Amino acid sequence: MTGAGDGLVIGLGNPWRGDDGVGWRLAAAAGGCCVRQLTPDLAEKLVGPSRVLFIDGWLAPGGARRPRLRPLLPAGAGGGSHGLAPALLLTVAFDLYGVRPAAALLLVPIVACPHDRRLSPALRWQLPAARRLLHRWQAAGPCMS
Amino acid sequence: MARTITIDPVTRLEGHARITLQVDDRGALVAARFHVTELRGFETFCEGRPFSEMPMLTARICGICPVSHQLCAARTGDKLLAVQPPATARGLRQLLNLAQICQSHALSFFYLSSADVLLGWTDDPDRRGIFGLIAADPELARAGIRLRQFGQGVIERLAGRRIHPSWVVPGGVRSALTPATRAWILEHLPEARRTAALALERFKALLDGRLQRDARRFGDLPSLFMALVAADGSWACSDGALRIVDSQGVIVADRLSEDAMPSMIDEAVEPWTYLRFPYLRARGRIDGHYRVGPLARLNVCSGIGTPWADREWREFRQRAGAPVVTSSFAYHHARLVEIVACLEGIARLVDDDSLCQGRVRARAALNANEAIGVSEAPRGTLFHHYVVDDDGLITRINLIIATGQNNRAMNLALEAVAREELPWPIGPGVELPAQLLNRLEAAIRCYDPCLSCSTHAAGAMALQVQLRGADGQVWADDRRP
Repeated sequence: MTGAGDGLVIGLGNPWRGDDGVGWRLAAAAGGCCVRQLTPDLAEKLVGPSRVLFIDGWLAPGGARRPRLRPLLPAGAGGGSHGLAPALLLTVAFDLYGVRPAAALLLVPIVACPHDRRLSPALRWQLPAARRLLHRWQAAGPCMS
Repeated sequence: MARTITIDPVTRLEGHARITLQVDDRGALVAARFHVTELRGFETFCEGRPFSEMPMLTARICGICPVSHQLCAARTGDKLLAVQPPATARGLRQLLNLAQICQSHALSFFYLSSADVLLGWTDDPDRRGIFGLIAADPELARAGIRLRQFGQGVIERLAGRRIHPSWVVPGGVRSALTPATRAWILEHLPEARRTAALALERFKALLDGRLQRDARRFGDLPSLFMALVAADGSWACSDGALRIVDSQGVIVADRLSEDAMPSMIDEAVEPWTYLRFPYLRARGRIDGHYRVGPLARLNVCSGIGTPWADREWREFRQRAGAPVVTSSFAYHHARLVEIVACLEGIARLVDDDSLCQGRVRARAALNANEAIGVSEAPRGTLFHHYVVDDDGLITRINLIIATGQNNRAMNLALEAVAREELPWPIGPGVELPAQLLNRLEAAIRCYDPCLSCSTHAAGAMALQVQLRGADGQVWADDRRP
């Protein structure tokens, strides 16, 4: 839990692979849950919170430079069980537990994913904006999701 | 016109592979092959590293069975140190292995094979994995996911992490069982037992109905079976000796030490796959193929040693109506029986106060330059063989993995299913029904192969590279013998 009411923050990524770890870092700083990938067992964590925010790195088409926060609805079916998309995890949570938390996805544009714990300079520039969106989501009620 | 039918990639495996069926001019099946198309190279980059690092390094082979490699590497390390780990450490390693087998079998049954087993063969491929089960039977899906979580939870609490823990070391383990971990296990065991009972009930009902034919005939083939057994011949997953039985249930070798492995087992290679073909030298490359894993363990042992698992084991053998169960499909049933064995074994071990106290590690300097370790991984018997210099640095390493030992059986099972299920002879342009292709994949999934574990000997592999033009002409052909 994030400490912001009953909202859950889930950060996705690999903290050992440069910018890919940005979701992990932001979620850890917010007291959220950090995972390298989404698996079906995580659906159980969605039982209880009324809101959930996924944070992930984003190889933006066209090189978008600003983090984006957008609402997320359950979607998708099938695929592998080792790496679910956030929308599919919402579907699994509904199918298994009948829960449907209001969900949002914070996408942070990433540049490079070398074998390194450091973030790229370009991404570091974006961190304040990403944090502002995270704090806005935390401060807002369910309508924000 | 000769043609090749290809399924690429084969889905719901741990790794990457493809299946080909080769058909001659008359439309008859020439060969069915399981091509493993990935190479890891682990044995090569372990060379030069200290043997004490092997539990951590070899664990990185796989994210599903790191614990199995750690246990086998530590066992090999024990022998290089020439120490017997304290009884507490041996019990704790066994507890870890039981949790590992439980979580891996739950993954195989519920996540990867449940659609084949429980939902039938004709479903939309997009709904055939865990998501198909979630949609069709959320209660069982929920329970299966939580059963895997239980196994992972035991590993995490005992060894510090679910994946790639660093708790098992040559000479023992790093810490004893804590009261908190023991309490957590005891709290969650009843739910895990209920899930195992539910899965067995559903599965056996299908065996009596829709799956009756598959249970006996799906990928049915004769072979030898090899596994560890305890001193009294009962099921064992850690300490024990090797036993081999044939398809009639005759014990052909017993009380074998893992030290006999190099003289007992050879490994053949083929140019069309990175997966080796281990076989018993004494019987030759064709007749010497053997199977390992859950089916082999239940065929080889003379009982499990715990009440519920013993009942399930007897029923498992009785249903086959033969001294040994030979259908590949029976691997699924065997996994469920082993989950019961693991849960009962875990309950027995956590009831032992000695696991919470006493010495957990024996320390010594290097006392040998070569050692072979063995343990039972979820998918079968696992061997680690190290040669080290006087500083304990690895100079030679060979890992014989369960999936490799089942390689010939997987190819034979594929051929058996292809012959049984496809409408031979096949003419040009014939449409193959999706459910038949699903059954070919399912023949491989019976063995729950872990390809990331079993393809890592770059230097020993025959390698062929062909460059072909769009018209199929070979422009260049390079091969390493």
